[in-house]
Amino acid sequence: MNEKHTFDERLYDRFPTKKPGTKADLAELEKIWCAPKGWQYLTAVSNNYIGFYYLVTAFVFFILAGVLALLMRVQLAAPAQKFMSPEVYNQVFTMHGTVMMFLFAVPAVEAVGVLLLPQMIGARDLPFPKMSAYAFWIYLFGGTAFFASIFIGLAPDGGWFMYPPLTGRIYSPGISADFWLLGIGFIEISAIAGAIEFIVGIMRTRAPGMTLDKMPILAWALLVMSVMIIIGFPSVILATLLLELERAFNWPFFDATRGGDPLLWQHLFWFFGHPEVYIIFLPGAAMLTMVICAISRSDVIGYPLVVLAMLATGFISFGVWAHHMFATGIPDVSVGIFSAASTAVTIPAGTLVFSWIATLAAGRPNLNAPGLFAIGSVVVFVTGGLTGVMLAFVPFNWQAHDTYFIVAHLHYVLFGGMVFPLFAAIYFWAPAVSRYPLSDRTGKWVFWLMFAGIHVTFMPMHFAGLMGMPRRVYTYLPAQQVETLNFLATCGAFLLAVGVGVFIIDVIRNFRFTAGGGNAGNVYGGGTMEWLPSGLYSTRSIPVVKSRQPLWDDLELSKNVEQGRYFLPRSATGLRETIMTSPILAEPQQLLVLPGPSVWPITAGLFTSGFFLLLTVQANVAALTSGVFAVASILIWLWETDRPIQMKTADIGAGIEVPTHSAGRLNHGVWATFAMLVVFAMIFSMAVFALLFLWTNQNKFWINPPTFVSSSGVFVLGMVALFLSIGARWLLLKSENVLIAVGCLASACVLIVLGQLFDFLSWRQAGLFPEASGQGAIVYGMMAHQASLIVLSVIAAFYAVARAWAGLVTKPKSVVVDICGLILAYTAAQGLAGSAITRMLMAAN
Amino acid sequence: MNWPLVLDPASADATQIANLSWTLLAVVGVVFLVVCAALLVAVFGSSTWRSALAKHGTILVAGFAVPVVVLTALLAYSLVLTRTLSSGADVPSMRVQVTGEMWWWRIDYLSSDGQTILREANELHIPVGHTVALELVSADVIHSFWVPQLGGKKDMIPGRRNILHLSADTPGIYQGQCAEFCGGPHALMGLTVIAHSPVDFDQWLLRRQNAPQPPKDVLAQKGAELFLTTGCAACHVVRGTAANGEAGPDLTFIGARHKLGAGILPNNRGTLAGWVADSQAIKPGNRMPRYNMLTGEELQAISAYLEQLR
Amino acid sequence: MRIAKRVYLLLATLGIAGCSDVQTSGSARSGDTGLLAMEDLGCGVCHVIPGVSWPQSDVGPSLVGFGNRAFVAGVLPNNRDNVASFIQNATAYVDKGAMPPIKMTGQQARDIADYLRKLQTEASP
Repeated sequence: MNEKHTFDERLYDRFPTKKPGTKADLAELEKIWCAPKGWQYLTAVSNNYIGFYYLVTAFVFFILAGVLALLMRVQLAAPAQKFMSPEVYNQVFTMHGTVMMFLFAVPAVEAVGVLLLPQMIGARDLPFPKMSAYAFWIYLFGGTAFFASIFIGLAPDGGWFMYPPLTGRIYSPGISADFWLLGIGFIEISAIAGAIEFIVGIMRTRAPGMTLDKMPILAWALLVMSVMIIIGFPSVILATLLLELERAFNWPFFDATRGGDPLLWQHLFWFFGHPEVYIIFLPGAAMLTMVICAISRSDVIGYPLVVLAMLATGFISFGVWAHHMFATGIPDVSVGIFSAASTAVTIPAGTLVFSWIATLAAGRPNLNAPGLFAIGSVVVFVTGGLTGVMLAFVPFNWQAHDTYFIVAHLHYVLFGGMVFPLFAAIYFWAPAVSRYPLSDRTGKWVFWLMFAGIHVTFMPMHFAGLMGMPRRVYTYLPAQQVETLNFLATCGAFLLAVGVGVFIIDVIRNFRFTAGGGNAGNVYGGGTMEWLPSGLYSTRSIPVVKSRQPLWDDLELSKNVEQGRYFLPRSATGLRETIMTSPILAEPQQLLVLPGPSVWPITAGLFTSGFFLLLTVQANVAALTSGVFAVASILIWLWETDRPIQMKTADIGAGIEVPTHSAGRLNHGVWATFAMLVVFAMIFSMAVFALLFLWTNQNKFWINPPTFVSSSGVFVLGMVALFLSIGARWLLLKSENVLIAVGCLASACVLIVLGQLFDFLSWRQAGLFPEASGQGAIVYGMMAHQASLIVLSVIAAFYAVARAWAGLVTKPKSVVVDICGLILAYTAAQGLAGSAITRMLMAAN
Repeated sequence: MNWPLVLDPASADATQIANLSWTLLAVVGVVFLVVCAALLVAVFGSSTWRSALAKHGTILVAGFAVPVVVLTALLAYSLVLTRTLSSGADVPSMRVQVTGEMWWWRIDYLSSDGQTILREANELHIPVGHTVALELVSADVIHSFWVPQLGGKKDMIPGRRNILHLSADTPGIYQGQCAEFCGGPHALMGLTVIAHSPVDFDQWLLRRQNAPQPPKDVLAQKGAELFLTTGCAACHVVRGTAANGEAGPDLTFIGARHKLGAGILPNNRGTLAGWVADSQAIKPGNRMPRYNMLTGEELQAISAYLEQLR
Repeated sequence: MRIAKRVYLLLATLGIAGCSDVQTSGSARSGDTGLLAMEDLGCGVCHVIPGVSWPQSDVGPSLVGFGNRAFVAGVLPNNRDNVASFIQNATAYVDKGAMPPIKMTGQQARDIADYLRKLQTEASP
């Protein structure tokens, strides 16, 4: 990967500057980034606060789901107990899995990212602070409402994997499944928002000089994770939408009697579901790597191998989903391929493990609390990884699948790959955000209790599984030789709970949140930039990064940074800002002005949650109203954020001037839009997969589509719309006439709407209806997806027109035109592709 | 000492899988010990040992090259075995359709042209040494057929017909259970496979050709009448009588089954009476309502009738 | 396979499997013979019986504190022979009752009677 230099590297030699930053500049920074007071905590958007809120919320969900696990263990402590009815138990195990995966694991790793990433890569904040805040609020509101369903006995009870037809409306009447589908579906929005934020943050806001090969491993992991999220999550979003459509409107996507197929769900779900495991494992592994580096005082041994291993894991993880389906009777060839891929995915994991071992060996590791958790993680993870390898081998999988062997395996992997690393991380990084470190002594107790608890709980489960005990059973009968095993597991679960309890006591006694300054500091001697002295503004100045462990390699760095001898020792514009750098070489390109506190993210979050939750209880009018308010909040926030800056360029330290504004492919908003369009494109691709899958498997329900000739109007309109939306940008550049450019966008939007209308009518004329068959369901489902994009396009066009009307569209280049043009062009292109593909699949003769 | 069922195979296929399982257990056991040893050296070892570990080479060899070799070998073994097991070396001598229902199994013995020659429930009889082709289908949601000692599991998916070859080496009773979560009392959806010697199997099949004789005993006769009048017949078939409900298990030979309630209860007159009176207390959520409006005498009669259906 | 069995046994005794049920065989269950007989017969389908975890139902009277009762089903003095005889053929004593005659050996009936007669009422709280 080469990137042209756009910045004279010799300028880096100006730092550290001879002259320190002034007191006045520091005072201004403090004022600009000042701490919230009272109600302002709700409008805070800075990563210091949002990251902390996020982590606390995720941890609360961990405790809640943990309590559910204890309830299950009580029920299963002895055979044939009646502590819980099957009705309740099924809700409890469904909620345990769902909450742990969606409301704890993913948000927790994202929270760690929000909290630590900016400081780690030398940015003052993430590039879209309001989006982080919004992502957090929908997660909090949505997650809380979702969890509350269990208190009224309306929790979903179809398992976290929600297989239809069990979760269809015949076998799951009532709204509990809808809680899952709408609740989880939209909490995914939060994960995706975070992922987009990380991608842009990592690629564009690293400290000058932090080339890709100098990035901390956690940044790499978050980057890979984010890419995986925007590729993998759309699949589950689509799946939940389809099932919800089936439930609400009787569109038979998964109904085999009408040309749907229950296996379609499994493919869509696991295409997301398996990468999901690596999505939470990679950041866990990276936290582990960083803690191991710090405790053994050595840089990562085999850094390039670790990065490659992470990339390989991310890549291969998308080719293993069907190993959850070996028993479904999929063809032999697929079985072989997926078995091979599932075996292959363990190789990068092996690389990671031996990199940890090599790094530990490189120093004399300190067995403090983070150290113990790190080493314990390796042991636990390896155990789970090895049973995972066993499961990749199909004949064994046929026996072990859906038994307690799997329960044991997955808990080993998740504890070793995510929970323990998270605890290591919390002990390690707590001093960065707390006035006092957590107690190392107590931490060791927590470790040993949890470590013992894990083995006592989950080791016996392997044997119970081989003994023939299936998963997801609310009870088991006596005399099946699993009684002692289960009793042990229950004891272990309580031991584990005691460990977590001691941890909570430690937190209550020692943890005192402090976002800006006054923290306990670098207790464990880490070498990366989050350990630079910092305030709410992050570091006083942003250093030039010359190595992977800058604090170890330049002992003067902390002092010089604190004295403001590096980049951006003051606010150039009087606003919150950070440096935007090039993607690979991290050369300064632009001063990025960041938004400050705002009320709109929380209102947008509230109304978005309101929209989905009201939809669940079928209060459609109220839901719609809430949705309109949500859109309005977001538009106001965009309008506010997108403020014109008077200064064309700004001094970012040592007399280096960079622009304060950019358009086109340099702009961070354009990057984020691209990432968002990847999400839509993935939803669309998965819909095409669904279409092809149903066509292949249920072809006898197919009718012939309208011909291309009869629907030529659809394609002509789409083409013109595509040209207009791409052309707008070019016209603005050539003519410098805002009216023409925005006019192009608006008319493209109208054409797209008309095209969709024609498409819809031509299918109706062909005699296809959504309730009639799998084909009808998926064709209309794709149109529904297209319609949702059209709504977005209309909003975008409306926004562009409004900006133009207010005289806020810049020329000859305008970000508004760029972004709206992109959205419209994508919508038009997707419409064309969808209309074409659906018309190519003929009925069987 | 009893083995975990998976490692205590009773069929050729299950034996091959058990052998693979042992191989895998051995390999991962060794790998686990090696990793733990390396970890111990890394943390507590002498500086010579540690510096030997702290190299790129360690990662490339132990973390990449060795796994590639070991895994490739295992993969080859497993893929060949997968192929052998799924293609099925023996030509099946019998077809049986097993339908997953919430929360029991409908079992149809088929003729070679696919006609049902005998309908049973929850208990599958097979001849030892013969391969039986199970045709797995579902009547409602996804279920999964699993008898650990006889081999791996296979899902029963609405709209699909999955084939599973089943055989047993020695006569005996093998317990199975639904392995895919199917809601409600999924935990209590058990299954019994009874392997007979071929001679016994033929006799068994012969005995099943004709419905049992009408009851001779007065109490059972009264039970037969009540069976038709109190609603039982709406959901259950008893061949040779007017009872023709298809919703629940076929009860023509209920008295001969080893277990009651889909593999979960002993079968005798007492348990029959208790199940009829209140199956909901035992298997909550199952589709059979409580029959607690019957008098004690009526319940006695029905249980007497059911017990002699053999 | 023999070696494998040894390894497994070793693991089990090392406490990884660490459990008595893996080591005791299913058919040779240990415990009170009366209790085992009731488990085999499924008496719990109708009665709550201390010690029987499966099944458990309230179709018939609970047998908690059976040892304290003066009469069996209100008709027979509570002694070993009467109990053994009653459980084999309750209809002979309560002709309109729901409890059917149940096939068991005389030994089983006596074991069950012994077990039931040992059941004392728990001290009321």
